[in-house]
Amino acid sequence: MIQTGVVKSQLAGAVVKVDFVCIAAVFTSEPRRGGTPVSSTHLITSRLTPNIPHRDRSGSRSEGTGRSRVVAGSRRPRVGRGPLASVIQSGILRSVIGAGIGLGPGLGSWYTGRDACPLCEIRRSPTLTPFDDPIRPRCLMSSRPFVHLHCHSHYSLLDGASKLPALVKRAKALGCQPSR
Amino acid sequence: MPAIAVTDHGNLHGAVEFLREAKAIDLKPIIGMEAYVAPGRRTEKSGGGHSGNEHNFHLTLLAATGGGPQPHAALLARLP
Repeated sequence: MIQTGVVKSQLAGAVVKVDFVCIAAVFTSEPRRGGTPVSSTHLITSRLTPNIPHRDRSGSRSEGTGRSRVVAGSRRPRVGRGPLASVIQSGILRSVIGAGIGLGPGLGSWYTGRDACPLCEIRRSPTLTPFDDPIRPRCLMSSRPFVHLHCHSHYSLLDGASKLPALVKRAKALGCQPSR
Repeated sequence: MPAIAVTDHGNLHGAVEFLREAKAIDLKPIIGMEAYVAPGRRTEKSGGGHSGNEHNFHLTLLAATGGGPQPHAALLARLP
Protein backbone atom coordinates (compact mmCIF):
# COMPACT_ATOMS: atom_id res chain seq x y z
CA MET A 1 0.00 0.00 0.00
CA ILE A 2 2.85 2.35 0.65
CA GLN A 3 4.52 3.61 -2.42
CA THR A 4 6.67 6.53 -3.19
CA GLY A 5 6.94 8.88 -6.02
CA VAL A 6 7.56 12.47 -6.76
CA VAL A 7 4.41 14.20 -7.80
CA LYS A 8 4.38 17.65 -9.21
CA SER A 9 1.68 19.68 -7.58
CA GLN A 10 0.25 22.90 -8.83
CA LEU A 11 0.61 25.55 -6.17
CA ALA A 12 -0.35 29.13 -6.86
CA GLY A 13 0.41 28.84 -10.51
CA ALA A 14 3.87 27.50 -10.00
CA VAL A 15 4.94 23.90 -10.27
CA VAL A 16 6.25 22.74 -6.93
CA LYS A 17 7.98 19.44 -6.51
CA VAL A 18 6.75 17.65 -3.41
CA ASP A 19 7.78 14.27 -2.12
CA PHE A 20 4.86 11.98 -1.50
CA VAL A 21 5.54 8.78 0.30
CA CYS A 22 2.15 7.28 0.90
CA ILE A 23 -0.50 7.20 -1.73
CA ALA A 24 -3.38 4.89 -1.14
CA ALA A 25 -6.93 4.50 -2.24
CA VAL A 26 -9.51 3.83 0.43
CA PHE A 27 -12.87 2.46 -0.50
CA THR A 28 -15.74 2.43 1.91
CA SER A 29 -19.39 1.78 1.48
CA GLU A 30 -20.42 2.93 4.92
CA PRO A 31 -21.76 6.39 5.63
CA ARG A 32 -19.64 8.51 7.85
CA ARG A 33 -20.95 9.36 11.30
CA GLY A 34 -23.50 12.10 10.98
CA GLY A 35 -25.24 10.61 8.01
CA THR A 36 -23.17 12.15 5.26
CA PRO A 37 -22.33 9.47 2.72
CA VAL A 38 -18.71 9.08 1.93
CA SER A 39 -17.71 9.13 -1.67
CA SER A 40 -16.56 5.83 -3.00
CA THR A 41 -12.97 6.79 -3.44
CA HIS A 42 -10.70 8.81 -1.25
CA LEU A 43 -7.17 9.45 -2.30
CA ILE A 44 -4.94 9.70 0.68
CA THR A 45 -1.67 11.40 0.12
CA SER A 46 0.67 11.37 3.03
CA ARG A 47 3.26 14.03 2.70
CA LEU A 48 6.39 13.90 4.78
CA THR A 49 7.76 17.21 3.61
CA PRO A 50 6.68 19.42 6.48
CA ASN A 51 5.12 22.85 6.35
CA ILE A 52 4.57 23.09 2.65
CA PRO A 53 0.95 23.73 1.80
CA HIS A 54 -0.44 21.82 -1.11
CA ARG A 55 -3.72 21.34 -2.87
CA ASP A 56 -5.63 18.14 -3.01
CA ARG A 57 -7.71 17.12 -5.98
CA SER A 58 -10.69 19.17 -5.00
CA GLY A 59 -8.56 22.29 -4.93
CA SER A 60 -8.84 23.00 -1.23
CA ARG A 61 -5.68 24.09 0.43
CA SER A 62 -4.32 22.49 3.56
CA GLU A 63 -1.30 23.10 5.70
CA GLY A 64 1.28 20.40 5.92
CA THR A 65 1.56 18.56 9.18
CA GLY A 66 4.29 16.19 8.21
CA ARG A 67 1.89 13.26 8.16
CA SER A 68 -1.20 12.23 6.36
CA ARG A 69 -4.09 14.58 6.63
CA VAL A 70 -6.68 11.87 6.51
CA VAL A 71 -5.14 9.28 8.75
CA ALA A 72 -3.00 11.38 11.02
CA GLY A 73 -0.38 9.45 12.89
CA SER A 74 -1.45 6.15 11.44
CA ARG A 75 1.03 4.21 9.42
CA ARG A 76 -1.45 2.06 7.60
CA PRO A 77 -4.39 3.74 5.95
CA ARG A 78 -7.74 2.31 6.83
CA VAL A 79 -9.40 0.18 4.23
CA GLY A 80 -13.14 -0.04 4.39
CA ARG A 81 -15.01 -3.23 5.10
CA GLY A 82 -16.99 -2.98 1.90
CA PRO A 83 -17.08 -5.67 -0.74
CA LEU A 84 -14.27 -4.04 -2.61
CA ALA A 85 -11.95 -4.00 0.37
CA SER A 86 -10.27 -7.27 -0.38
CA VAL A 87 -9.85 -6.32 -3.99
CA ILE A 88 -8.22 -3.10 -2.95
CA GLN A 89 -5.61 -5.04 -1.03
CA SER A 90 -4.18 -6.25 -4.28
CA GLY A 91 -1.52 -4.02 -5.65
CA ILE A 92 -2.66 -4.37 -9.22
CA LEU A 93 -5.88 -2.52 -8.71
CA ARG A 94 -4.20 0.16 -6.66
CA SER A 95 -1.76 0.85 -9.40
CA VAL A 96 -4.58 0.96 -11.89
CA ILE A 97 -6.37 3.42 -9.66
CA GLY A 98 -3.25 5.49 -9.33
CA ALA A 99 -2.76 5.57 -13.06
CA GLY A 100 -6.43 6.23 -13.71
CA ILE A 101 -6.59 9.18 -11.40
CA GLY A 102 -3.78 10.66 -13.38
CA LEU A 103 -1.48 12.09 -10.77
CA GLY A 104 1.30 12.24 -13.27
CA PRO A 105 4.13 10.08 -14.43
CA GLY A 106 5.50 9.76 -10.91
CA LEU A 107 2.98 7.08 -10.04
CA GLY A 108 3.92 4.94 -12.97
CA SER A 109 7.58 4.99 -12.08
CA TRP A 110 7.60 4.00 -8.44
CA TYR A 111 10.82 2.48 -7.32
CA THR A 112 12.71 3.22 -10.40
CA GLY A 113 16.04 4.89 -10.53
CA ARG A 114 17.45 5.81 -7.14
CA ASP A 115 14.33 4.69 -5.32
CA ALA A 116 14.83 1.09 -6.28
CA CYS A 117 16.55 -1.07 -3.72
CA PRO A 118 20.09 -1.43 -5.04
CA LEU A 119 20.66 -4.78 -3.41
CA CYS A 120 17.59 -6.92 -3.58
CA GLU A 121 16.26 -5.33 -6.77
CA ILE A 122 12.74 -5.31 -5.42
CA ARG A 123 10.90 -2.44 -6.93
CA ARG A 124 7.66 -2.87 -5.02
CA SER A 125 7.83 -4.68 -1.74
CA PRO A 126 5.72 -4.86 1.40
CA THR A 127 8.91 -4.75 3.42
CA LEU A 128 9.68 -1.22 2.35
CA THR A 129 9.77 1.22 5.19
CA PRO A 130 9.66 4.68 3.69
CA PHE A 131 8.97 6.19 7.12
CA ASP A 132 12.48 5.37 8.19
CA ASP A 133 13.94 7.56 5.52
CA PRO A 134 11.37 9.47 3.49
CA ILE A 135 13.90 10.95 1.13
CA ARG A 136 15.44 7.66 0.15
CA PRO A 137 13.25 4.75 1.18
CA ARG A 138 14.98 1.44 1.49
CA CYS A 139 13.78 -2.01 2.16
CA LEU A 140 14.77 -3.90 5.26
CA MET A 141 17.01 -6.24 3.36
CA SER A 142 19.35 -3.49 2.25
CA SER A 143 19.51 -1.68 5.56
CA ARG A 144 20.34 -4.70 7.72
CA PRO A 145 23.15 -6.92 6.59
CA PHE A 146 22.59 -10.58 7.18
CA VAL A 147 23.80 -13.98 6.06
CA HIS A 148 21.63 -16.76 4.77
CA LEU A 149 22.32 -19.75 6.98
CA HIS A 150 19.89 -22.23 5.53
CA CYS A 151 20.33 -22.73 1.81
CA HIS A 152 19.69 -25.86 -0.16
CA SER A 153 21.57 -26.82 -3.27
CA HIS A 154 20.58 -29.45 -5.77
CA TYR A 155 22.11 -32.01 -3.45
CA SER A 156 18.98 -31.63 -1.33
CA LEU A 157 16.77 -33.92 -3.32
CA LEU A 158 13.22 -32.71 -3.83
CA ASP A 159 14.00 -29.49 -1.98
CA GLY A 160 16.66 -27.55 -3.82
CA ALA A 161 17.48 -26.82 -7.42
CA SER A 162 20.32 -24.31 -7.13
CA LYS A 163 23.64 -25.32 -8.51
CA LEU A 164 26.43 -24.25 -6.21
CA PRO A 165 28.42 -21.96 -8.56
CA ALA A 166 25.27 -20.05 -9.47
CA LEU A 167 24.14 -19.90 -5.83
CA VAL A 168 27.46 -18.53 -4.65
CA LYS A 169 27.66 -15.96 -7.42
CA ARG A 170 24.12 -14.81 -6.75
CA ALA A 171 24.83 -14.41 -3.04
CA LYS A 172 27.85 -12.34 -3.89
CA ALA A 173 25.89 -10.15 -6.26
CA LEU A 174 23.00 -9.53 -3.88
CA GLY A 175 23.80 -7.79 -0.68
CA CYS A 176 26.76 -9.79 0.34
CA GLN A 177 29.20 -7.04 -0.32
CA PRO A 178 32.27 -6.25 1.75
CA SER A 179 32.27 -3.51 4.38
CA ARG A 180 28.60 -2.87 4.56
CA MET B 1 32.96 -10.36 5.28
CA PRO B 2 30.10 -11.70 3.26
CA ALA B 3 29.15 -15.28 3.89
CA ILE B 4 26.62 -17.91 2.94
CA ALA B 5 25.79 -21.30 4.32
CA VAL B 6 24.70 -24.35 2.41
CA THR B 7 22.72 -26.82 4.49
CA ASP B 8 21.66 -29.70 2.34
CA HIS B 9 19.27 -32.32 3.57
CA GLY B 10 21.19 -35.02 5.32
CA ASN B 11 24.35 -35.00 3.25
CA LEU B 12 27.58 -33.14 2.64
CA HIS B 13 27.88 -33.96 -1.04
CA GLY B 14 28.20 -30.33 -2.08
CA ALA B 15 30.66 -29.26 0.59
CA VAL B 16 33.85 -29.49 -1.43
CA GLU B 17 32.36 -27.87 -4.50
CA PHE B 18 30.81 -25.16 -2.33
CA LEU B 19 34.12 -24.47 -0.60
CA ARG B 20 35.95 -24.17 -3.90
CA GLU B 21 33.38 -21.95 -5.58
CA ALA B 22 32.96 -19.61 -2.62
CA LYS B 23 36.66 -19.12 -2.01
CA ALA B 24 37.20 -18.40 -5.68
CA ILE B 25 35.07 -15.26 -5.44
CA ASP B 26 36.05 -14.25 -1.89
CA LEU B 27 32.86 -15.34 -0.20
CA LYS B 28 33.01 -17.03 3.19
CA PRO B 29 31.57 -20.52 2.95
CA ILE B 30 29.76 -21.99 5.96
CA ILE B 31 29.38 -25.71 5.62
CA GLY B 32 26.18 -26.96 7.12
CA MET B 33 23.80 -29.83 7.10
CA GLU B 34 20.15 -30.18 7.80
CA ALA B 35 19.96 -33.18 10.04
CA TYR B 36 16.94 -35.11 11.20
CA VAL B 37 16.27 -35.83 14.82
CA ALA B 38 13.91 -38.67 15.57
CA PRO B 39 12.65 -39.54 19.07
CA GLY B 40 12.75 -43.27 18.54
CA ARG B 41 13.65 -44.99 15.36
CA ARG B 42 14.25 -42.82 12.32
CA THR B 43 11.60 -44.70 10.41
CA GLU B 44 8.88 -43.77 12.88
CA LYS B 45 6.62 -41.15 11.39
CA SER B 46 4.18 -40.93 14.28
CA GLY B 47 4.92 -39.87 17.83
CA GLY B 48 7.50 -41.58 19.97
CA GLY B 49 10.10 -40.96 22.64
CA HIS B 50 9.51 -40.84 26.38
CA SER B 51 6.11 -39.19 26.32
CA GLY B 52 5.04 -40.90 23.16
CA ASN B 53 4.14 -37.57 21.64
CA GLU B 54 7.55 -36.41 20.51
CA HIS B 55 7.93 -36.03 16.79
CA ASN B 56 10.88 -36.00 14.52
CA PHE B 57 12.19 -32.61 13.46
CA HIS B 58 14.89 -30.99 11.40
CA LEU B 59 18.04 -29.66 12.98
CA THR B 60 20.25 -27.26 11.07
CA LEU B 61 23.90 -27.75 11.92
CA LEU B 62 26.53 -25.19 10.96
CA ALA B 63 30.26 -25.72 11.08
CA ALA B 64 31.81 -23.03 13.27
CA THR B 65 35.46 -23.99 12.85
CA GLY B 66 37.62 -25.75 10.34
CA GLY B 67 37.04 -28.99 12.17
CA GLY B 68 33.30 -28.53 12.06
CA PRO B 69 32.41 -30.61 9.04
CA GLN B 70 34.01 -33.70 10.52
CA PRO B 71 31.43 -34.19 13.28
CA HIS B 72 28.77 -33.75 10.61
CA ALA B 73 30.37 -36.47 8.58
CA ALA B 74 30.74 -38.64 11.66
CA LEU B 75 27.05 -38.25 12.41
CA LEU B 76 26.22 -39.19 8.86
CA ALA B 77 28.49 -42.23 9.02
CA ARG B 78 26.67 -43.50 12.11
CA LEU B 79 23.30 -43.52 10.44
CA PRO B 80 21.90 -47.05 10.52
